Amino acid sequence: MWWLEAVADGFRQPHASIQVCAFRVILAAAMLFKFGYEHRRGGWRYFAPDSFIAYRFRREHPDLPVGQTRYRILYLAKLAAAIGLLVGVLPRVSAVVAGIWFLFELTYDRKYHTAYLGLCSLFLAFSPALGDALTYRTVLAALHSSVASVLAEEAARTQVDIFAQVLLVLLTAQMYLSSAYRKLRSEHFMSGAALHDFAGSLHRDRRLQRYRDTWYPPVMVRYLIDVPVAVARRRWRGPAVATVGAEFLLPVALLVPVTYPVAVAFGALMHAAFTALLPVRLVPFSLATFGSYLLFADPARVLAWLG
Amino acid sequence: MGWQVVQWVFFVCLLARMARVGFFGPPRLLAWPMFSRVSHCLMDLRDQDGEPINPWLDIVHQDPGMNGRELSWYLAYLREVRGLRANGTVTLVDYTGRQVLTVRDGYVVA
Repeated sequence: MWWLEAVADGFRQPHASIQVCAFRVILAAAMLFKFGYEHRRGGWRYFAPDSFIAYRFRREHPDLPVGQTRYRILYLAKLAAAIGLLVGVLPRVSAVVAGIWFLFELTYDRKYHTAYLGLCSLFLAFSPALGDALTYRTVLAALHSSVASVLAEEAARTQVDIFAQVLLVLLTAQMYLSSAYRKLRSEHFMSGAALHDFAGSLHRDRRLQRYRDTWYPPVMVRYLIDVPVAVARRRWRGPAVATVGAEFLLPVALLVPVTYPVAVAFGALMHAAFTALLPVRLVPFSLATFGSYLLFADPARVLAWLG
Repeated sequence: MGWQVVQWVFFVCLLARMARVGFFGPPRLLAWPMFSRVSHCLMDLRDQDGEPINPWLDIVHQDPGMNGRELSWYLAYLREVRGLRANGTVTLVDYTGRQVLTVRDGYVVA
């Protein structure tokens, strides 16, 4: 398996730059989606003096001197970093800046998708291939010659240092395995109670939310939410067990070349289900995670496929 | 050669941390217990003038998660920053079950 060989060879293995660059573009798109909807929902004012988010931050981190001005400087830096990453301007610097932003974001809004995006961004910064393909230069070159020839020329570029790709593959695999193991040990999750509580709370408060980002089909509400607690939990137990099983199997299937194509399709379905439970908020996470599947593909096969 | 040594050291340290934090101990960076311990506060609160208090206008967008400690911060925020003294009930839903808390004059009293 390529990743074992890459580790054995000291992270030296020829690979197509476009593989990691495609992930760079997907990750940047996920960030911009997240930043966009958060901005629309008041992100710029999160650290205003009368905001609860700033109040909670000060209570939790009295030693971190971040007020509204510093928050907004970081806010602009994260936008610049995401755009830089998308178009390939100083991509490694952009990846580090975005990663630092996400680490800061975790101090006032601890969410696992934020941690995942941040770690992806920081690990991506290790790649020397980030600026090789799918950048603003691609667009400029396409103005003077055909898109196909520009992409073919970029697809032929290779690098030998595969460290970043190995780290990102490791991160996604560990994320699934850790999630499955901790869910398995959680009675709250395995009983179906956690999923019922989560969906039920969002459904109950649906009219109080300033932005309606959650909507569950009436049949789901009748069958899984507006029923006695014991019945609902019993019905959620199946999806809970299936999630744990899927999260244990998926990384293994992604890492084995023979099962890789099936794992990609299966992962897409699983993330679609997760996203349905928490639409909008989970889109960036699902996008980035699914995008990372590109990095599980055997680099030698990708090189051969690209010709 | 020097860079490869850095890569190896980083890789081994990362692997060790992933194994330890990912599977054991309290959740920290590189632990992924998504949905394992969900906690929410379902609030039915009104201020001293009888106006309903909508926490969704104050929390991070689409973030219903709030535990007992954060609830006390929220009530303190309402008192200290907004000048609101909440009254009503809060249903705390977490892995231990459901607990209905009574809020009087901005404080949890029972």
